Amino acid sequence: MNDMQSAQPIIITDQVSIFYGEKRAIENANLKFYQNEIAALIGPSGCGKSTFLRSINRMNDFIATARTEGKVIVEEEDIYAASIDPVLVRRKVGMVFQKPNPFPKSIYDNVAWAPRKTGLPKSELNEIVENSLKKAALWEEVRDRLHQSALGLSGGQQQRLCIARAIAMQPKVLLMDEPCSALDPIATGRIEDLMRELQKDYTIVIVTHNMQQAARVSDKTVFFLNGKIIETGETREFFTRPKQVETENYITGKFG
Amino acid sequence: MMFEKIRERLSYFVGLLAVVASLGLLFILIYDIIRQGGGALSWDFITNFPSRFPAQAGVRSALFGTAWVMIMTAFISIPLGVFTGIYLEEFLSRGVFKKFIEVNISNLAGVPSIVYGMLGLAVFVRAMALGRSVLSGALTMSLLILPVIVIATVEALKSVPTTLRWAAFGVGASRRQVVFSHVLPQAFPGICTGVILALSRAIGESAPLILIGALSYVAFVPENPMDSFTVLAIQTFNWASRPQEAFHERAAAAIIVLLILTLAMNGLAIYLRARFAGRKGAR
Repeated sequence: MNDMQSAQPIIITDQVSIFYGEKRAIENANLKFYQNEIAALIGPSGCGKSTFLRSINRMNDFIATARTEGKVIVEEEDIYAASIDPVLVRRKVGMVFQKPNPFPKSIYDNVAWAPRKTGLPKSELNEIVENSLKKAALWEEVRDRLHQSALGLSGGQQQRLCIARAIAMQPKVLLMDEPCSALDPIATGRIEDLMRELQKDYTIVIVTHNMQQAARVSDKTVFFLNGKIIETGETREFFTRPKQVETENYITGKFG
Repeated sequence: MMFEKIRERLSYFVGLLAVVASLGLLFILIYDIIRQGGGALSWDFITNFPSRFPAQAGVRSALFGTAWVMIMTAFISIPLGVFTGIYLEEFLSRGVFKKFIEVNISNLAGVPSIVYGMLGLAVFVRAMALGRSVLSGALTMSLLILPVIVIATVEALKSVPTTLRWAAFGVGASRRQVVFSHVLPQAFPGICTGVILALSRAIGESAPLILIGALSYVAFVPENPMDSFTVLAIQTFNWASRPQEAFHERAAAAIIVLLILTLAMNGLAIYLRARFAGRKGAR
């Protein structure tokens, strides 16, 4: 990973604090994420990891009481600057949610909807849909029923469709908020394999409260506790030789 | 344990009694109306103008008047009400102003209809000099049902899961796109039902229209929005207040016509709901 560390990070968070009303959910988070890296954010429920994740594509804008301080820089642009259109931020930083949430439209339209809105012609749309579904390892299962409702797919298929939908916009970064928490182990395994594939093209930041998952898929692990970053490290190092007592207690199951 | 069972039984019977009582009353009402007015109901009754001879009196002008008022009311109140609802729920950010509007709209929905009649008389008939016309009637009716449509729209939008909005925002949709491409289609059946129920309320209203000066004897069919008019509810009221028994039969027959119209509109609401609910997802 060393050659990547020396490169310019794609995401930098600089003294990021997030408040819900008076309550501070995240305190001075300073992190760097690099191209083609999978970073896992772990920590017990309510530690602020999902809140932090949503700050990277301004999804906290939709929580009325949420307020963000500090800078989040994506590709050298402060995404909280007044001149930035959050809609464009979300095209660059895609998101996959905890529960699969396909649009109640056809499989094709789920993937094609967003690119179509950017004005792409139909011929290119077909290509985007096929490529995105292939990248999400779903193409073979749905190629014959592209125009059927996405709601007829299984949970795991729906989640892969949501991944296809996100990569159809050709983002630079994929945020995943506990993408496997509603899936069975087999579907989870497929998503994890998929993440390894997607890593070739994207930077992935994933929130998980499954430590085994973090250990299996990520290159870097960040441990949150009560809104603070306790420890950040290369994943194998992190799980085998944690530097902080809290980290060790958490990963050995003493609390959480 | 024994006690618990008796209470369980008791609540079941109380519920059953309530259902039987309300349905029973409804059936008695319908039976009574059909018994009284069934004989007067004929094609001539539909196509004849009112007359001072009960045997020749019909609801033609009232039927056309009702159609005119309802169609114009629909054209005025649906866009205004639905867009107000969308604005309130999807675009206006939470705050004192929003709360203020919401509370007021809820209150407006509970204002007696005759108050709207007074408002219509003062504003549309007099101040705007629209006269005792179909247009004045439709504007007044629109005011009456606007709060109901707004509330139905807001409720329908609220019932669309937040996760769908997030999904759309997450792929870089603007607020306008989220609302119009994703949320509104999901809310559509609910909005439809609300709108049609609101219109069904308007179709049976007479008080506000009497107040703005709808006539009770109209021997012509309105031909433009500025014509005077009557509606079924007023025609019914007029006949029912006559001393002759034969006119009472006509009143009952007019009620049957009104009930059929209302039933048809409610049927349409159910059909639209089922149709769009079934179509969700597949395209």
